[in-house]
Amino acid sequence: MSSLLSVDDLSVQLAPAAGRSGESGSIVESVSLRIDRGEALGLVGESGCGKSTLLLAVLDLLGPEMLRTSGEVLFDGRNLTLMAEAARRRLLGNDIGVVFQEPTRALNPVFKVGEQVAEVLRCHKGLDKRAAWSRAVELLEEVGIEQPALRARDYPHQLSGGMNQRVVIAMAIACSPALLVVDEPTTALDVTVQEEILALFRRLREERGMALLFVSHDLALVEQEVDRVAVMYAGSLVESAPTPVLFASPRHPYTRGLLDCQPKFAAPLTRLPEIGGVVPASDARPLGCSFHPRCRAAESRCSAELPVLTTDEAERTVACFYPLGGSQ
Amino acid sequence: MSLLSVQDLSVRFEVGRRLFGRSRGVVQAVDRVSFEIAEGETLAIVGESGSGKSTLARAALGLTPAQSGQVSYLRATGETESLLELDAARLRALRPELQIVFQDPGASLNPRFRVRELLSEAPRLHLGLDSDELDERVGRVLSRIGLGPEIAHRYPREFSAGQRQRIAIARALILEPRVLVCDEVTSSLDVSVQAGILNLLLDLQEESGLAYLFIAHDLAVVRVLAHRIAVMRAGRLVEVGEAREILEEPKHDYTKELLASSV
Repeated sequence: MSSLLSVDDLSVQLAPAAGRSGESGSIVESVSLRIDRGEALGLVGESGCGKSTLLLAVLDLLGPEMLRTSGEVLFDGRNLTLMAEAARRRLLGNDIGVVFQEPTRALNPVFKVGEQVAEVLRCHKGLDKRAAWSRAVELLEEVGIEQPALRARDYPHQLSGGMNQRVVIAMAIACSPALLVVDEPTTALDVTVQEEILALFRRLREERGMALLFVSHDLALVEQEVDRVAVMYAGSLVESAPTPVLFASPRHPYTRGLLDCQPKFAAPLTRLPEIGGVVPASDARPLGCSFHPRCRAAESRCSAELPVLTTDEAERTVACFYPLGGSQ
Repeated sequence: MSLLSVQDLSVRFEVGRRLFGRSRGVVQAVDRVSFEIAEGETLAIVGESGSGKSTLARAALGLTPAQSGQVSYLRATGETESLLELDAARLRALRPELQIVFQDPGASLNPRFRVRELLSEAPRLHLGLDSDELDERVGRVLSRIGLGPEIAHRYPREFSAGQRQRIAIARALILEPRVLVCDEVTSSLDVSVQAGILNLLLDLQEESGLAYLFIAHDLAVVRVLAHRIAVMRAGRLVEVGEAREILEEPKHDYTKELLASSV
Protein backbone atom coordinates (compact mmCIF):
# COMPACT_ATOMS: atom_id res chain seq x y z
CA MET A 1 0.00 0.00 0.00
CA SER A 2 2.37 2.64 -1.24
CA SER A 3 0.25 4.57 -3.71
CA LEU A 4 1.49 8.02 -4.62
CA LEU A 5 -2.04 9.40 -4.66
CA SER A 6 -4.93 7.68 -3.01
CA VAL A 7 -8.43 9.11 -3.05
CA ASP A 8 -10.94 7.42 -0.79
CA ASP A 9 -14.73 7.87 -0.86
CA LEU A 10 -14.60 11.49 -2.01
CA SER A 11 -17.92 13.35 -2.36
CA VAL A 12 -18.62 16.96 -3.30
CA GLN A 13 -21.89 18.90 -3.06
CA LEU A 14 -22.99 22.41 -3.86
CA ALA A 15 -22.51 24.47 -0.71
CA PRO A 16 -25.78 25.35 1.02
CA ALA A 17 -26.75 28.89 0.06
CA ALA A 18 -29.57 31.32 0.69
CA GLY A 19 -32.50 30.69 -1.60
CA ARG A 20 -31.57 27.11 -2.22
CA SER A 21 -33.30 24.47 -0.23
CA GLY A 22 -33.37 20.72 0.07
CA GLU A 23 -30.97 18.14 -1.23
CA SER A 24 -28.80 19.38 -4.08
CA GLY A 25 -27.37 15.97 -4.94
CA SER A 26 -23.68 15.20 -5.10
CA ILE A 27 -21.61 16.55 -7.97
CA VAL A 28 -19.05 13.90 -7.12
CA GLU A 29 -20.27 10.80 -5.33
CA SER A 30 -17.95 8.63 -3.22
CA VAL A 31 -15.16 8.29 -5.75
CA SER A 32 -12.06 6.28 -4.89
CA LEU A 33 -8.94 6.12 -7.01
CA ARG A 34 -5.25 5.49 -6.66
CA ILE A 35 -2.18 6.24 -8.71
CA ASP A 36 1.13 4.50 -8.11
CA ARG A 37 4.53 6.12 -8.55
CA GLY A 38 5.28 6.62 -12.23
CA GLU A 39 1.83 5.39 -13.26
CA ALA A 40 -0.47 7.21 -15.70
CA LEU A 41 -4.23 7.20 -15.05
CA GLY A 42 -6.82 8.54 -17.51
CA LEU A 43 -10.05 9.98 -16.10
CA VAL A 44 -12.69 10.05 -18.81
CA GLY A 45 -16.34 11.04 -19.19
CA GLU A 46 -18.59 13.59 -20.90
CA SER A 47 -18.78 17.23 -19.86
CA GLY A 48 -20.86 17.54 -16.72
CA CYS A 49 -19.83 14.18 -15.27
CA GLY A 50 -17.81 15.82 -12.50
CA LYS A 51 -14.25 15.12 -13.71
CA SER A 52 -12.95 18.64 -13.18
CA THR A 53 -14.77 19.01 -9.86
CA LEU A 54 -13.21 15.76 -8.69
CA LEU A 55 -9.82 17.09 -9.71
CA LEU A 56 -10.33 20.36 -7.84
CA ALA A 57 -11.51 18.45 -4.77
CA VAL A 58 -8.44 16.21 -4.90
CA LEU A 59 -6.18 19.28 -5.06
CA ASP A 60 -8.31 21.04 -2.43
CA LEU A 61 -8.95 23.93 -4.81
CA LEU A 62 -12.77 23.91 -4.69
CA GLY A 63 -14.40 27.34 -4.84
CA PRO A 64 -16.72 28.58 -2.07
CA GLU A 65 -19.79 27.34 -3.97
CA MET A 66 -18.72 23.73 -3.52
CA LEU A 67 -18.15 21.63 -0.45
CA ARG A 68 -16.36 18.36 0.13
CA THR A 69 -18.79 16.30 2.16
CA SER A 70 -16.80 13.11 2.63
CA GLY A 71 -13.57 11.37 1.84
CA GLU A 72 -9.87 11.82 2.21
CA VAL A 73 -6.94 12.33 -0.13
CA LEU A 74 -3.52 10.90 0.68
CA PHE A 75 -0.49 12.05 -1.24
CA ASP A 76 2.69 10.14 -0.53
CA GLY A 77 1.22 9.12 2.81
CA ARG A 78 0.31 12.66 3.84
CA ASN A 79 -3.34 13.58 4.31
CA LEU A 80 -4.05 16.51 1.98
CA THR A 81 -7.50 17.08 3.42
CA LEU A 82 -6.17 17.70 6.93
CA MET A 83 -3.13 19.70 5.88
CA ALA A 84 -2.66 23.34 6.85
CA GLU A 85 -3.05 25.90 4.07
CA ALA A 86 0.65 26.82 3.94
CA ALA A 87 1.81 23.21 3.80
CA ARG A 88 -0.68 22.41 1.04
CA ARG A 89 0.50 25.39 -1.00
CA ARG A 90 4.06 24.08 -0.73
CA LEU A 91 2.91 20.68 -1.89
CA LEU A 92 1.01 21.99 -4.93
CA GLY A 93 3.64 23.16 -7.36
CA ASN A 94 6.45 21.34 -5.63
CA ASP A 95 5.18 17.77 -5.64
CA ILE A 96 2.09 18.10 -7.82
CA GLY A 97 2.12 20.05 -11.08
CA VAL A 98 -1.14 21.06 -12.75
CA VAL A 99 -1.94 21.96 -16.38
CA PHE A 100 -5.42 23.18 -17.30
CA GLN A 101 -7.18 23.36 -20.66
CA GLU A 102 -6.82 26.98 -21.63
CA PRO A 103 -3.16 28.09 -21.59
CA THR A 104 -3.94 31.75 -22.23
CA ARG A 105 -6.07 31.83 -19.07
CA ALA A 106 -3.41 30.13 -16.97
CA LEU A 107 -0.80 32.73 -17.94
CA ASN A 108 -0.67 36.35 -16.84
CA PRO A 109 -0.84 38.55 -19.97
CA VAL A 110 1.32 41.35 -18.56
CA PHE A 111 4.39 39.30 -17.58
CA LYS A 112 7.00 37.76 -19.87
CA VAL A 113 6.62 33.99 -20.06
CA GLY A 114 10.17 33.51 -18.72
CA GLU A 115 9.28 35.55 -15.63
CA GLN A 116 6.22 33.40 -15.02
CA VAL A 117 8.27 30.19 -15.10
CA ALA A 118 10.96 31.83 -12.95
CA GLU A 119 8.36 32.94 -10.39
CA VAL A 120 7.48 29.30 -9.67
CA LEU A 121 11.15 28.57 -8.95
CA ARG A 122 11.57 31.65 -6.77
CA CYS A 123 8.49 30.82 -4.69
CA HIS A 124 9.00 27.10 -4.33
CA LYS A 125 12.76 26.64 -4.59
CA GLY A 126 13.92 29.98 -3.21
CA LEU A 127 16.17 30.66 -6.20
CA ASP A 128 17.35 34.23 -6.69
CA LYS A 129 16.26 36.23 -9.71
CA ARG A 130 19.20 35.39 -11.98
CA ALA A 131 19.30 31.69 -11.13
CA ALA A 132 15.53 31.37 -11.54
CA TRP A 133 15.67 33.07 -14.95
CA SER A 134 18.41 30.84 -16.31
CA ARG A 135 16.67 27.73 -14.96
CA ALA A 136 13.42 28.97 -16.59
CA VAL A 137 15.20 29.18 -19.95
CA GLU A 138 16.45 25.60 -19.50
CA LEU A 139 12.92 24.45 -18.72
CA LEU A 140 11.53 26.19 -21.80
CA GLU A 141 14.11 24.32 -23.84
CA GLU A 142 13.15 21.05 -22.17
CA VAL A 143 9.49 21.45 -23.18
CA GLY A 144 10.53 21.96 -26.79
CA ILE A 145 10.55 25.71 -27.27
CA GLU A 146 13.12 26.78 -29.85
CA GLN A 147 15.41 29.71 -29.08
CA PRO A 148 14.31 29.57 -25.43
CA ALA A 149 16.44 32.53 -24.30
CA LEU A 150 14.70 34.72 -26.86
CA ARG A 151 11.17 33.34 -26.37
CA ALA A 152 11.46 33.74 -22.59
CA ARG A 153 11.27 37.50 -23.18
CA ASP A 154 7.97 37.20 -25.09
CA TYR A 155 4.56 37.90 -23.61
CA PRO A 156 1.84 35.22 -23.88
CA HIS A 157 0.04 37.07 -26.70
CA GLN A 158 3.18 36.83 -28.84
CA LEU A 159 3.13 33.03 -28.70
CA SER A 160 0.74 30.51 -30.28
CA GLY A 161 -1.69 28.42 -28.21
CA GLY A 162 0.58 25.39 -28.46
CA MET A 163 3.63 27.40 -27.36
CA ASN A 164 1.72 28.87 -24.43
CA GLN A 165 0.65 25.38 -23.37
CA ARG A 166 4.33 24.40 -23.41
CA VAL A 167 5.06 27.35 -21.12
CA VAL A 168 2.34 26.19 -18.70
CA ILE A 169 3.83 22.69 -18.78
CA ALA A 170 7.27 24.17 -18.03
CA MET A 171 5.76 25.89 -14.99
CA ALA A 172 4.08 22.65 -13.89
CA ILE A 173 7.27 20.58 -14.09
CA ALA A 174 9.61 23.32 -12.80
CA CYS A 175 9.96 21.75 -9.36
CA SER A 176 10.17 18.17 -10.64
CA PRO A 177 6.80 17.05 -9.25
CA ALA A 178 6.13 13.38 -8.61
CA LEU A 179 2.64 13.79 -10.08
CA LEU A 180 1.54 15.83 -13.09
CA VAL A 181 -2.20 16.52 -13.32
CA VAL A 182 -3.50 17.61 -16.74
CA ASP A 183 -7.13 18.60 -17.43
CA GLU A 184 -8.05 18.55 -21.15
CA PRO A 185 -4.58 19.90 -21.97
CA THR A 186 -4.98 19.69 -25.76
CA THR A 187 -8.66 20.43 -26.30
CA ALA A 188 -8.01 24.03 -27.33
CA LEU A 189 -5.21 23.06 -29.73
CA ASP A 190 -4.88 21.89 -33.33
CA VAL A 191 -4.49 18.15 -33.94
CA THR A 192 -0.87 18.43 -35.07
CA VAL A 193 0.01 20.51 -32.01
CA GLN A 194 -1.98 18.10 -29.84
CA GLU A 195 0.22 15.26 -31.05
CA GLU A 196 3.36 17.24 -30.15
CA ILE A 197 2.08 17.99 -26.64
CA LEU A 198 1.15 14.34 -26.06
CA ALA A 199 4.63 13.30 -27.21
CA LEU A 200 6.07 15.82 -24.75
CA PHE A 201 4.12 14.25 -21.86
CA ARG A 202 5.41 10.81 -22.92
CA ARG A 203 9.00 12.04 -23.01
CA LEU A 204 8.75 13.83 -19.67
CA ARG A 205 7.29 10.74 -18.02
CA GLU A 206 10.08 8.59 -19.41
CA GLU A 207 12.86 10.98 -18.43
CA ARG A 208 11.53 12.00 -15.05
CA GLY A 209 9.44 8.99 -14.01
CA MET A 210 6.50 11.26 -13.22
CA ALA A 211 3.05 9.88 -12.50
CA LEU A 212 0.27 11.37 -14.63
CA LEU A 213 -3.43 12.03 -14.08
CA PHE A 214 -4.90 12.80 -17.49
CA VAL A 215 -8.49 14.13 -17.58
CA SER A 216 -10.33 14.17 -20.91
CA HIS A 217 -13.78 13.77 -22.47
CA ASP A 218 -12.16 11.86 -25.32
CA LEU A 219 -11.59 8.20 -24.55
CA ALA A 220 -9.60 7.57 -27.73
CA LEU A 221 -7.20 10.39 -26.93
CA VAL A 222 -5.92 8.81 -23.72
CA GLU A 223 -5.43 5.32 -25.15
CA GLN A 224 -1.76 5.81 -26.04
CA GLU A 225 -1.01 7.94 -22.99
CA VAL A 226 -2.12 6.08 -19.88
CA ASP A 227 -1.69 2.71 -18.16
CA ARG A 228 -5.18 2.62 -16.68
CA VAL A 229 -8.48 4.33 -17.48
CA ALA A 230 -11.24 5.30 -15.06
CA VAL A 231 -14.59 6.18 -16.64
CA MET A 232 -16.83 8.60 -14.77
CA TYR A 233 -20.54 9.15 -15.32
CA ALA A 234 -22.85 11.55 -13.46
CA GLY A 235 -20.48 11.99 -10.53
CA SER A 236 -19.51 8.34 -10.01
CA LEU A 237 -16.93 5.95 -11.36
CA VAL A 238 -18.63 3.35 -13.53
CA GLU A 239 -15.68 1.38 -14.86
CA SER A 240 -11.93 1.24 -14.52
CA ALA A 241 -9.40 -1.13 -16.02
CA PRO A 242 -5.88 -1.39 -17.46
CA THR A 243 -5.97 0.48 -20.80
CA PRO A 244 -5.60 -2.52 -23.14
CA VAL A 245 -8.30 -4.44 -21.25
CA LEU A 246 -10.73 -1.52 -21.35
CA PHE A 247 -10.26 -0.89 -25.06
CA ALA A 248 -10.37 -4.57 -26.01
CA SER A 249 -13.59 -5.28 -24.12
CA PRO A 250 -15.40 -2.43 -22.39
CA ARG A 251 -17.95 -3.89 -20.00
CA HIS A 252 -20.00 -0.86 -18.99
CA PRO A 253 -22.49 0.19 -21.70
CA TYR A 254 -21.43 3.81 -21.17
CA THR A 255 -17.78 3.00 -21.94
CA ARG A 256 -18.92 1.11 -25.04
CA GLY A 257 -20.99 4.15 -26.11
CA LEU A 258 -18.04 6.51 -25.66
CA LEU A 259 -15.89 4.27 -27.87
CA ASP A 260 -18.52 3.75 -30.56
CA CYS A 261 -19.21 7.44 -31.21
CA GLN A 262 -15.58 8.07 -32.19
CA PRO A 263 -15.48 9.44 -35.75
CA LYS A 264 -12.07 7.91 -36.36
CA PHE A 265 -13.56 4.40 -36.26
CA ALA A 266 -16.52 5.36 -38.44
CA ALA A 267 -17.39 4.25 -41.94
CA PRO A 268 -17.47 7.21 -44.35
CA LEU A 269 -20.85 8.87 -44.99
CA THR A 270 -22.59 6.69 -42.40
CA ARG A 271 -24.40 7.83 -39.26
CA LEU A 272 -22.36 7.38 -36.08
CA PRO A 273 -23.73 5.35 -33.16
CA GLU A 274 -24.96 7.91 -30.61
CA ILE A 275 -25.41 7.40 -26.88
CA GLY A 276 -28.56 9.52 -27.03
CA GLY A 277 -29.78 11.85 -24.28
CA VAL A 278 -27.58 13.99 -22.06
CA VAL A 279 -25.78 13.70 -18.73
CA PRO A 280 -28.35 14.46 -15.99
CA ALA A 281 -27.67 17.46 -13.75
CA SER A 282 -26.53 16.67 -10.23
CA ASP A 283 -29.98 17.52 -8.79
CA ALA A 284 -31.90 15.58 -11.44
CA ARG A 285 -30.32 12.16 -11.43
CA PRO A 286 -32.70 9.24 -11.85
CA LEU A 287 -33.16 6.55 -9.22
CA GLY A 288 -31.08 3.44 -9.61
CA CYS A 289 -28.21 3.49 -12.08
CA SER A 290 -27.73 7.07 -13.32
CA PHE A 291 -27.06 5.83 -16.83
CA HIS A 292 -30.20 3.67 -17.23
CA PRO A 293 -32.32 6.22 -19.17
CA ARG A 294 -29.62 6.34 -21.87
CA CYS A 295 -28.74 2.67 -21.75
CA ARG A 296 -29.87 0.23 -24.43
CA ALA A 297 -29.29 -2.77 -22.17
CA ALA A 298 -31.28 -1.40 -19.21
CA GLU A 299 -33.75 -3.69 -17.42
CA SER A 300 -36.30 -2.90 -14.72
CA ARG A 301 -33.76 -3.55 -11.96
CA CYS A 302 -31.54 -0.71 -13.30
CA SER A 303 -34.15 1.94 -12.50
CA ALA A 304 -34.69 0.66 -8.95
CA GLU A 305 -31.30 -0.29 -7.53
CA LEU A 306 -27.90 1.31 -7.59
CA PRO A 307 -25.18 -1.00 -8.97
CA VAL A 308 -21.94 -1.00 -6.95
CA LEU A 309 -18.41 -1.32 -8.29
CA THR A 310 -17.19 -4.91 -8.38
CA THR A 311 -13.71 -6.08 -9.33
CA ASP A 312 -12.94 -9.03 -11.58
CA GLU A 313 -9.79 -11.05 -12.24
CA ALA A 314 -8.45 -8.65 -14.93
CA GLU A 315 -8.13 -5.83 -12.35
CA ARG A 316 -11.24 -4.33 -13.82
CA THR A 317 -13.98 -2.75 -11.74
CA VAL A 318 -17.40 -2.10 -13.20
CA ALA A 319 -20.69 -0.86 -11.76
CA CYS A 320 -23.39 -2.50 -13.85
CA PHE A 321 -25.98 -5.24 -13.27
CA TYR A 322 -25.73 -6.44 -16.86
CA PRO A 323 -22.15 -5.81 -17.97
CA LEU A 324 -21.32 -6.47 -21.61
CA GLY A 325 -19.69 -9.83 -22.31
CA GLY A 326 -15.93 -10.08 -22.51
CA SER A 327 -16.05 -11.46 -26.04
CA GLN A 328 -17.62 -8.34 -27.58
CA MET B 1 -22.64 22.71 -63.57
CA SER B 2 -21.66 23.12 -59.94
CA LEU B 3 -23.71 24.96 -57.38
CA LEU B 4 -20.88 27.12 -56.08
CA SER B 5 -17.70 27.70 -58.00
CA VAL B 6 -14.76 29.65 -56.63
CA GLN B 7 -11.92 30.67 -58.95
CA ASP B 8 -8.54 32.12 -58.03
CA LEU B 9 -9.83 33.69 -54.84
CA SER B 10 -7.28 35.77 -52.93
CA VAL B 11 -7.64 37.68 -49.68
CA ARG B 12 -4.95 39.82 -48.09
CA PHE B 13 -4.87 41.69 -44.82
CA GLU B 14 -2.70 44.63 -43.90
CA VAL B 15 -1.04 44.13 -40.53
CA GLY B 16 0.54 46.39 -37.97
CA ARG B 17 -1.28 49.50 -39.13
CA ARG B 18 -1.06 52.40 -36.70
CA LEU B 19 -3.63 55.14 -36.42
CA PHE B 20 -3.04 57.42 -39.47
CA GLY B 21 0.08 55.42 -40.24
CA ARG B 22 0.87 53.08 -43.04
CA SER B 23 0.75 49.35 -42.60
CA ARG B 24 3.99 47.50 -42.00
CA GLY B 25 3.17 44.53 -44.13
CA VAL B 26 0.55 42.31 -45.70
CA VAL B 27 -0.56 38.76 -44.94
CA GLN B 28 -1.75 36.76 -47.91
CA ALA B 29 -4.47 34.92 -45.98
CA VAL B 30 -5.95 33.21 -49.05
CA ASP B 31 -3.78 32.74 -52.12
CA ARG B 32 -5.45 31.97 -55.49
CA VAL B 33 -7.77 29.25 -54.26
CA SER B 34 -10.23 27.48 -56.57
CA PHE B 35 -12.86 24.85 -55.77
CA GLU B 36 -16.37 23.77 -56.70
CA ILE B 37 -19.27 22.29 -54.78
CA ALA B 38 -22.17 20.42 -56.38
CA GLU B 39 -25.70 20.17 -55.06
CA GLY B 40 -25.99 17.63 -52.22
CA GLU B 41 -22.22 17.45 -51.89
CA THR B 42 -19.92 18.03 -48.92
CA LEU B 43 -16.55 19.61 -49.55
CA ALA B 44 -14.40 19.63 -46.43
CA ILE B 45 -11.62 22.13 -46.00
CA VAL B 46 -9.07 20.98 -43.46
CA GLY B 47 -5.97 22.67 -42.13
CA GLU B 48 -4.50 24.08 -38.95
CA SER B 49 -5.47 27.28 -37.17
CA GLY B 50 -4.27 30.22 -39.18
CA SER B 51 -4.19 28.38 -42.50
CA GLY B 52 -6.95 30.63 -43.86
CA LYS B 53 -9.90 28.19 -43.87
CA SER B 54 -12.41 30.53 -42.25
CA THR B 55 -11.24 33.53 -44.26
CA LEU B 56 -11.64 31.51 -47.44
CA ALA B 57 -15.22 30.56 -46.52
CA ARG B 58 -16.15 34.08 -45.53
CA ALA B 59 -14.67 35.56 -48.70
CA ALA B 60 -16.48 32.97 -50.83
CA LEU B 61 -19.78 34.18 -49.36
CA GLY B 62 -18.84 37.83 -49.78
CA LEU B 63 -18.60 38.41 -46.01
CA THR B 64 -14.92 39.40 -46.17
CA PRO B 65 -13.70 41.53 -49.10
CA ALA B 66 -11.61 39.57 -51.58
CA GLN B 67 -8.55 41.01 -53.25
CA SER B 68 -9.22 39.18 -56.49
CA GLY B 69 -11.03 36.17 -57.87
CA GLN B 70 -14.51 35.08 -58.86
CA VAL B 71 -17.36 33.27 -57.14
CA SER B 72 -20.23 31.95 -59.27
CA TYR B 73 -23.40 30.72 -57.66
CA LEU B 74 -26.07 28.82 -59.59
CA ARG B 75 -29.52 29.88 -58.35
CA ALA B 76 -32.47 27.51 -58.12
CA THR B 77 -33.99 29.52 -60.98
CA GLY B 78 -31.09 28.56 -63.26
CA GLU B 79 -29.41 31.97 -63.39
CA THR B 80 -25.76 32.25 -62.45
CA GLU B 81 -24.78 35.09 -60.13
CA SER B 82 -21.29 36.42 -59.73
CA LEU B 83 -21.31 36.93 -55.96
CA LEU B 84 -18.35 39.26 -55.64
CA GLU B 85 -19.69 41.69 -58.22
CA LEU B 86 -23.17 42.12 -56.77
CA ASP B 87 -24.18 45.31 -55.00
CA ALA B 88 -25.18 45.11 -51.32
CA ALA B 89 -28.93 44.89 -51.96
CA ARG B 90 -28.70 42.05 -54.48
CA LEU B 91 -26.21 40.18 -52.30
CA ARG B 92 -28.63 40.51 -49.39
CA ALA B 93 -31.40 39.03 -51.51
CA LEU B 94 -29.21 35.95 -52.02
CA ARG B 95 -28.27 35.56 -48.34
CA PRO B 96 -31.03 33.09 -47.42
CA GLU B 97 -29.62 30.63 -49.95
CA LEU B 98 -26.05 30.78 -48.60
CA GLN B 99 -25.87 30.37 -44.83
CA ILE B 100 -23.11 29.87 -42.27
CA VAL B 101 -22.89 28.22 -38.82
CA PHE B 102 -19.99 29.04 -36.50
CA GLN B 103 -17.97 27.13 -33.92
CA ASP B 104 -19.24 28.57 -30.67
CA PRO B 105 -23.03 28.63 -30.31
CA GLY B 106 -22.63 30.42 -26.98
CA ALA B 107 -21.19 33.40 -28.82
CA SER B 108 -23.41 33.34 -31.90
CA LEU B 109 -26.81 33.16 -30.14
CA ASN B 110 -28.03 36.35 -28.47
CA PRO B 111 -28.61 35.37 -24.80
CA ARG B 112 -31.52 37.83 -24.44
CA PHE B 113 -33.55 36.33 -27.29
CA ARG B 114 -35.87 33.40 -26.88
CA VAL B 115 -35.47 30.56 -29.38
CA ARG B 116 -38.53 31.76 -31.32
CA GLU B 117 -37.04 35.26 -31.69
CA LEU B 118 -33.61 33.90 -32.57
CA LEU B 119 -35.04 31.74 -35.32
CA SER B 120 -37.67 34.08 -36.72
CA GLU B 121 -35.58 37.25 -37.04
CA ALA B 122 -33.90 36.29 -40.31
CA PRO B 123 -36.99 34.95 -42.13
CA ARG B 124 -38.99 38.00 -41.01
CA LEU B 125 -36.40 40.35 -42.48
CA HIS B 126 -35.45 38.36 -45.57
CA LEU B 127 -38.74 36.75 -46.53
CA GLY B 128 -41.24 39.15 -44.98
CA LEU B 129 -43.33 36.41 -43.35
CA ASP B 130 -46.14 37.25 -40.93
CA SER B 131 -46.37 36.00 -37.37
CA ASP B 132 -48.40 32.84 -38.09
CA GLU B 133 -46.15 31.83 -40.95
CA LEU B 134 -43.12 32.41 -38.74
CA ASP B 135 -44.51 30.26 -35.92
CA GLU B 136 -45.25 27.53 -38.37
CA ARG B 137 -41.72 27.65 -39.80
CA VAL B 138 -40.08 27.76 -36.35
CA GLY B 139 -42.06 24.70 -35.25
CA ARG B 140 -41.14 22.83 -38.40
CA VAL B 141 -37.40 23.59 -38.20
CA LEU B 142 -37.25 22.70 -34.48
CA SER B 143 -38.77 19.30 -35.20
CA ARG B 144 -36.26 18.82 -38.00
CA ILE B 145 -33.29 19.35 -35.70
CA GLY B 146 -34.77 16.99 -33.10
CA LEU B 147 -35.69 19.47 -30.36
CA GLY B 148 -39.46 19.86 -30.74
CA PRO B 149 -41.57 23.05 -31.07
CA GLU B 150 -42.24 23.34 -27.32
CA ILE B 151 -38.79 24.81 -26.67
CA ALA B 152 -39.54 27.97 -28.71
CA HIS B 153 -40.14 30.14 -25.62
CA ARG B 154 -36.89 29.18 -23.87
CA TYR B 155 -33.57 31.04 -23.75
CA PRO B 156 -30.20 29.73 -25.07
CA ARG B 157 -28.76 29.37 -21.55
CA GLU B 158 -31.36 26.71 -20.79
CA PHE B 159 -29.73 24.33 -23.27
CA SER B 160 -26.62 22.18 -23.34
CA ALA B 161 -23.78 23.03 -25.73
CA GLY B 162 -24.93 20.39 -28.20
CA GLN B 163 -28.53 21.62 -28.14
CA ARG B 164 -27.34 25.20 -28.63
CA GLN B 165 -25.39 24.14 -31.68
CA ARG B 166 -28.59 22.50 -33.01
CA ILE B 167 -30.40 25.80 -32.50
CA ALA B 168 -27.62 27.65 -34.37
CA ILE B 169 -28.03 25.16 -37.23
CA ALA B 170 -31.82 25.66 -37.11
CA ARG B 171 -31.33 29.41 -37.47
CA ALA B 172 -29.50 28.82 -40.74
CA LEU B 173 -31.90 26.09 -41.93
CA ILE B 174 -35.03 28.14 -41.39
CA LEU B 175 -34.13 30.20 -44.48
CA GLU B 176 -34.02 26.99 -46.53
CA PRO B 177 -30.46 27.50 -47.75
CA ARG B 178 -28.88 25.55 -50.59
CA VAL B 179 -25.32 26.01 -49.37
CA LEU B 180 -24.41 25.73 -45.70
CA VAL B 181 -20.95 26.68 -44.48
CA CYS B 182 -20.09 24.84 -41.25
CA ASP B 183 -17.08 26.49 -39.62
CA GLU B 184 -15.67 24.09 -36.96
CA VAL B 185 -19.23 23.36 -35.78
CA THR B 186 -18.22 20.43 -33.59
CA SER B 187 -14.81 21.58 -32.35
CA SER B 188 -16.02 22.80 -28.98
CA LEU B 189 -18.23 19.78 -28.31
CA ASP B 190 -17.70 16.48 -26.52
CA VAL B 191 -17.06 13.48 -28.75
CA SER B 192 -20.44 11.99 -27.80
CA VAL B 193 -22.31 15.24 -28.60
CA GLN B 194 -20.33 15.71 -31.79
CA ALA B 195 -21.68 12.36 -33.06
CA GLY B 196 -25.24 13.70 -32.77
CA ILE B 197 -24.43 16.90 -34.71
CA LEU B 198 -22.63 14.99 -37.48
CA ASN B 199 -25.61 12.62 -37.77
CA LEU B 200 -27.98 15.60 -37.97
CA LEU B 201 -25.94 17.11 -40.83
CA LEU B 202 -25.98 13.77 -42.67
CA ASP B 203 -29.76 13.47 -42.26
CA LEU B 204 -30.40 17.05 -43.43
CA GLN B 205 -28.33 16.55 -46.54
CA GLU B 206 -30.16 13.34 -47.39
CA GLU B 207 -33.56 15.02 -46.92
CA SER B 208 -32.94 18.23 -48.83
CA GLY B 209 -29.84 17.94 -51.00
CA LEU B 210 -28.06 20.67 -49.04
CA ALA B 211 -24.43 21.34 -50.04
CA TYR B 212 -21.91 21.74 -47.22
CA LEU B 213 -18.65 23.60 -47.13
CA PHE B 214 -17.39 21.90 -43.97
CA ILE B 215 -14.41 23.49 -42.28
CA ALA B 216 -12.50 21.50 -39.69
CA HIS B 217 -8.99 20.94 -38.37
CA ASP B 218 -9.58 17.29 -37.56
CA LEU B 219 -9.52 14.76 -40.41
CA ALA B 220 -11.23 12.15 -38.24
CA VAL B 221 -14.39 14.29 -38.08
CA VAL B 222 -14.24 15.06 -41.78
CA ARG B 223 -14.27 11.40 -42.83
CA VAL B 224 -17.80 11.01 -41.49
CA LEU B 225 -19.38 13.40 -43.95
CA ALA B 226 -17.04 14.62 -46.67
CA HIS B 227 -17.41 13.56 -50.29
CA ARG B 228 -14.35 15.55 -51.24
CA ILE B 229 -11.56 17.02 -49.13
CA ALA B 230 -9.38 20.06 -49.73
CA VAL B 231 -6.27 20.41 -47.57
CA MET B 232 -5.26 23.99 -46.88
CA ARG B 233 -1.95 25.32 -45.66
CA ALA B 234 -0.72 28.90 -45.39
CA GLY B 235 -3.50 30.23 -47.62
CA ARG B 236 -3.20 27.65 -50.40
CA LEU B 237 -4.88 24.37 -51.21
CA VAL B 238 -2.09 21.79 -51.22
CA GLU B 239 -4.26 18.82 -52.14
CA VAL B 240 -7.87 18.38 -53.31
CA GLY B 241 -9.58 15.11 -54.09
CA GLU B 242 -12.17 12.45 -53.35
CA ALA B 243 -12.39 11.85 -49.59
CA ARG B 244 -11.40 8.21 -49.88
CA GLU B 245 -8.28 9.02 -51.90
CA ILE B 246 -7.14 11.74 -49.51
CA LEU B 247 -7.72 9.58 -46.44
CA GLU B 248 -6.23 6.38 -47.85
CA GLU B 249 -3.60 7.54 -50.33
CA PRO B 250 -2.57 11.06 -49.41
CA LYS B 251 0.02 12.47 -51.81
CA HIS B 252 1.15 15.63 -50.10
CA ASP B 253 3.45 15.37 -47.08
CA TYR B 254 1.36 17.85 -45.13
CA THR B 255 -1.77 15.74 -45.62
CA LYS B 256 0.14 12.71 -44.35
CA GLU B 257 1.21 14.67 -41.29
CA LEU B 258 -2.39 15.75 -40.58
CA LEU B 259 -3.60 12.18 -40.99
CA ALA B 260 -0.92 10.83 -38.67
CA SER B 261 -1.96 13.19 -35.90
CA SER B 262 -5.70 12.65 -36.13
CA VAL B 263 -5.93 8.88 -36.41
